Amino acid sequence: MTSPLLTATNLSAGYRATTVVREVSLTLRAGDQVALLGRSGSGKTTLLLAMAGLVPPSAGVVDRHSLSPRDVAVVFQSPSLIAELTSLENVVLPLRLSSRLPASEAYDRARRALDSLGVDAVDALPGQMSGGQQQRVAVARVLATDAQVIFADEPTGSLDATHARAVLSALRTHCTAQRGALVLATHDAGLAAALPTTWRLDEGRLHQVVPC
Amino acid sequence: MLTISWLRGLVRRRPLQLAAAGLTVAMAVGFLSALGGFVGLNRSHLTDRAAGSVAVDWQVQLVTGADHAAVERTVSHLPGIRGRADVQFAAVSSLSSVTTGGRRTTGRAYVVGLSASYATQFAGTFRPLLGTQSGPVLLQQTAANLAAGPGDPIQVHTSHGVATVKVSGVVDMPQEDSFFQKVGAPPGVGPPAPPDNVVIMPTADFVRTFRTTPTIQQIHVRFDRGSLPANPATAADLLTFRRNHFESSVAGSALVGDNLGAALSAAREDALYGEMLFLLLGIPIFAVAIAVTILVVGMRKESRAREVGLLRLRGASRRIIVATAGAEAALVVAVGVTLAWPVTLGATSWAFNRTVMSWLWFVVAAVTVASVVLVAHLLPTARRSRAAADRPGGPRGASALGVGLPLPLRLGLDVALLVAAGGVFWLVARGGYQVVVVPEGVPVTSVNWAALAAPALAWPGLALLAWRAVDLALRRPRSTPRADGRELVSAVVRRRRRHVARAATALAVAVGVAGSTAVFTATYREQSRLDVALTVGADVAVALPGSTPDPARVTALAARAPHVQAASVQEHRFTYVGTDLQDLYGIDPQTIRPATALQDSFVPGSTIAAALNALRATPSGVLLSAETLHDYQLHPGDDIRLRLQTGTALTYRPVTFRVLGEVTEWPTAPKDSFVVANASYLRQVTGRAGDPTALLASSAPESTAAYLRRHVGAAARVEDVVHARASIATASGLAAVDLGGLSRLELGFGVVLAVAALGLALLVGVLERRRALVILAALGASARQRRRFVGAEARVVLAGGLLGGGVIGAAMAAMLVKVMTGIFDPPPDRAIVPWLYLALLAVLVSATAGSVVALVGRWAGQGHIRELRDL
Repeated sequence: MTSPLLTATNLSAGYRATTVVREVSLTLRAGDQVALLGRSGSGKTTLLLAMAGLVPPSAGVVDRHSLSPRDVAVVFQSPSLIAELTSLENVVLPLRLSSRLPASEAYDRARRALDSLGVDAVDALPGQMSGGQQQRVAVARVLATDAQVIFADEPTGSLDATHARAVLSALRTHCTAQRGALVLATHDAGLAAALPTTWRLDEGRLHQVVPC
Repeated sequence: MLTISWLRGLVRRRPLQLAAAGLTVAMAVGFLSALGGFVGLNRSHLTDRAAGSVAVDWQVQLVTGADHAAVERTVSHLPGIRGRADVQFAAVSSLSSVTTGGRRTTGRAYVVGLSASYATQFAGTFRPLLGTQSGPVLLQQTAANLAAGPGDPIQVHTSHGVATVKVSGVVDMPQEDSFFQKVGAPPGVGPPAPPDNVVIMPTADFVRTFRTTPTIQQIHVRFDRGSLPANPATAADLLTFRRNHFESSVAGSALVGDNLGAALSAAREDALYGEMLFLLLGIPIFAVAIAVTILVVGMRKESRAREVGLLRLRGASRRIIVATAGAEAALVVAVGVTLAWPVTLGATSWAFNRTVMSWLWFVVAAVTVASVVLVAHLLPTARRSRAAADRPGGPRGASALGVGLPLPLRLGLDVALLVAAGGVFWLVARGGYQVVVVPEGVPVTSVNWAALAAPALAWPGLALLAWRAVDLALRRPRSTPRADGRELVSAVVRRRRRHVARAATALAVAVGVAGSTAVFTATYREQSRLDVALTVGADVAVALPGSTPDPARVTALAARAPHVQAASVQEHRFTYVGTDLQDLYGIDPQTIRPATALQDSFVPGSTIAAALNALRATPSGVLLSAETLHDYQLHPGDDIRLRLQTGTALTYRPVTFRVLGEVTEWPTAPKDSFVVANASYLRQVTGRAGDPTALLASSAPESTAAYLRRHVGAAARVEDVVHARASIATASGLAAVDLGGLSRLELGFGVVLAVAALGLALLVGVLERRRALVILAALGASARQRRRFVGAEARVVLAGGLLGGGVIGAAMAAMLVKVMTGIFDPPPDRAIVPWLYLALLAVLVSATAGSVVALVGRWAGQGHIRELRDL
């Protein structure tokens, strides 16, 4: 068994006075690819954000072991693109912020990521794109990075079946290449079935873990 | 019910934004009502000042054969009368005296008979110079003509013989012109020159001397000034009506010389200039205050859009949605107007050293600002409520981006406005910029509104031009990748150029308003100081009467007094130009320039340096007033014969001088006619010195004057600009003290508004970009990197605002100085730039930008990830 990338112990998190996620304990290891199922309001987004370190837990601990913040990436439920930047600029943004790569290589990698998801409108602003295109750009922004752990919050919600499959495939390929893990929150049972592991979140509690 | 619970929720959840909006409403209302207070205060101050300059309000002259008792009864029933006295005038053929040099005889003279209480009742009519006023007194010029002083006998030559009187004193009559006016002269006829020779004697002596000689009978009247209306125009009208009523009551037995009415009528011009200042300086600041209010109201634009969307989704009707917006606006206005009351009192107390509350202006300001706030709330809400149900999140993406120029700029409105402003300015300036028109001899004052069109067009033109300039600067091509992703920062700023240009324009206008006001008031203050210095003569002036023993010792002592930087002696005497007696100033062209305030504008068509050089090169040269050059048809290079008192006998002899040019102003000189010549040449041709005045430039006028008062003896009159400023009304009437309050008010609000405009514009920018900052934080951007995104925009806004503000301020200041030329006396050579204030303004504005960027960089984007779905 590989060493854990991320461990949550008795994790609780919520919004203001409301606790949404209750005492969740889990471990993510390299190669884990998990579908997170749950009804609307069950706490899927909060759990993902808490594990990503973007929401502080109200109780419990998230141990990211040797992962740096840049090794963890999130695909948000809404596309979350910066309105003033083009597709290409949005995708290259995290690479340019991290300054790990030379500029030319960063832009090349961003183009490849967009290409892999079939986005050719590299100079279009988000407002000039459809919701599906924006969602694919948001996914490409994660794919262009070296993130080891990806939390994707309903990344295929506004995509047709073909593009949804392409996105899922790209995310899984990236995790495999990076020897990382993927947690994908979704309502789509079919999509969940495509992943080796399924977690179910009900009333903030992780009730069922089904090993692949 | 829903509206009340909506308001309750707002107060609980958005207290800061509501308070900020209320505070800006309070600032705008407070500023306009304080400004209205200035208008009222200025009018009342001008009325007080005009009335204070008049010693005798009415000179009621009885026609020959009138019933004195009947007229006096009517006078006693005049409303608000505080004092009255009988005055008699008699014209005599000459006065004479016998001196060591022989007999001196004047030309035609006047003898005036006054009661003993006259000087007390009509304070300010006489200024005692020598001796007492218990017996006959001579005017200063008469005493000089007769070479007589206290204790000397003089002869009064009447048509019935010669009467000898013993002089008890010598006085000066500051209001000699009106005292000896021709009462009942038709309108438009200028006042006659006052007589050169006058003896004033007690009534008993007068009656004894002129028992059988026809005399002019007058009753002098003084009113209670406290009962006059505050507005000088209204007060002048009231006096006109009162005079008409009186003249009809006495049925042609008496005529009225209305000195008070004339002074108040003259002050109407100053009152209009005060109102021009209100328009030209106040309205732009009020406009900026309104813009800042709109900015603050706009801070809730995004959240209101979401709220509208949610309300529509939950089935609220458009009427309810609009009602909630109206209720919010009403709450903001209520908070603002309540706060505006103490703001007004505080601002006026700070600016005018007294609390002034003009309720009329307060209501006008409150209604104006309330309307703006209401429209700013209701208009976008009504618009959004139509389509909100479709897009509850409000506009996003490219629709929220501002990359295009607004319609007025696409139509070239900025260029059109500036061309029109330039054209109007050129046309009006060509005929001499006279914004307040006062036709001579007509009691009507009007405003040349066309003259105001230039600044009115230039303001929006320059503001739009600043917008275009910032937009153009940001239209540069896409930048190549740079370290740390700065090219993306540039791309964001470039694509937000509409927002950035709007913020930079707001700052530019605010800075321009503050800057132009600062330059204008600094120039006015300097010219007002110069005006006082011209009246005094220099920073410090030591005037020595002719009788002073060893005047050279005193002037030498004055030159060595503490803090004195330069000194020059100017000699005063009188000369006849034709039959006109004029003041003649003998100067030392080598030393006078650094000792006193001389400007190139004093010598039209030349420079002070050139004029003084010409005097130095031509010992017999003279500079003459425009009036003398015109009346005697003289030109530079002509010879002119002036009659001067010469030798110890002081007999008048003609001396030939060479005309060098025109002079309009000179230290201590009167406004109308005077002559400037070389002192050394005058001494040479007359064999005597004139009355010397030491003119001193001092770094500490008060200290220098105090030292000299202690050391030069009682005979010398020592004056300094600091003391004089408190007592001398500037020729424009709007004394520095009046404008001081206005400038404090405007400069204070100018700084507050510039800081608020920038701070709020940046904050609004951040609120608009809150989503982007949250995304940046989620993507791992550090606080420094987030700060860079905000900072880049702030830098462009700051640079564009300060640069644009500098250009707008300079252009508008130059225009303001030109438009308001009428209140400058003398007109300025150039505008004075208050660098310290401008530097402070720039530092404060930059510090505000720095603080907003630092705070936002630290705060924005943190702890809001959960809200990303809502943003």
